[in-house]
Amino acid sequence: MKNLRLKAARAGKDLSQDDLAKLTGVSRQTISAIEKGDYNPTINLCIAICKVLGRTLDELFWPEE
Amino acid sequence: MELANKVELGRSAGLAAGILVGLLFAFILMRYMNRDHKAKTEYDEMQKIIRNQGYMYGFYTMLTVECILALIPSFVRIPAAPIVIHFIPIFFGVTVHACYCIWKGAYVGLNTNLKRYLVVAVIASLINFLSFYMAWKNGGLMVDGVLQAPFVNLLVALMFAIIGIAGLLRKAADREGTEE
Repeated sequence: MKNLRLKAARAGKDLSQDDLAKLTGVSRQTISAIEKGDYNPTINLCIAICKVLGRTLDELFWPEE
Repeated sequence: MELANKVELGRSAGLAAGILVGLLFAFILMRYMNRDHKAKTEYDEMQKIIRNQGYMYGFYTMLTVECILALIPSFVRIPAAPIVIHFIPIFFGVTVHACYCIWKGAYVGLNTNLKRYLVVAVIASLINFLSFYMAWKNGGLMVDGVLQAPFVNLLVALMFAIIGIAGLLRKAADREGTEE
């Protein structure tokens, strides 16, 4: 399932996938895979992404009802 | 000891020395290709998982090709020197691993300087192709109808070419695809 909330939050901060990747210490392909729903990140990476984007885990990663 | 045995022993010792020098050279090149000049390439969590899967597919490919090559002599003689036969499964295994990792975005490490890597890959490919070409021109590729060690150089050049093509295809797919 695509993670559109992550994509929106990233775009809201005016960051490219490459920018977010560099800020979180992963590859651009990993960010792309998370947004496309092809990869479930570990909790450590989720937290790193949340910190960079200024969001909570619930806002970005908790499944929508 | 017979002269033929001495020649064979000398050739094997030369080959072993060549492999050791190659490994040392590869270690130095790894440091050159990584931005932080460490010999170890760093990968993120997703890349590590993909590379593990790549190793699995590469291993099974190597196993399959090795089994096929072990069975073939029961039916026909393979006109190749032992070193060539042993390198064929390695060629297939490494190529499958590299192509899988490239396609899934796990080939280039976080600390890899891609430009430097490409320069090294092109030079390595050319050196191997030239070694093969020179042997072919000098008649050292086939001796008594048997493929000799320089054929391995062709396999290595071919492997780099396949890796390069896989990289270009991935880049083209990326361009059409997802970002933003």
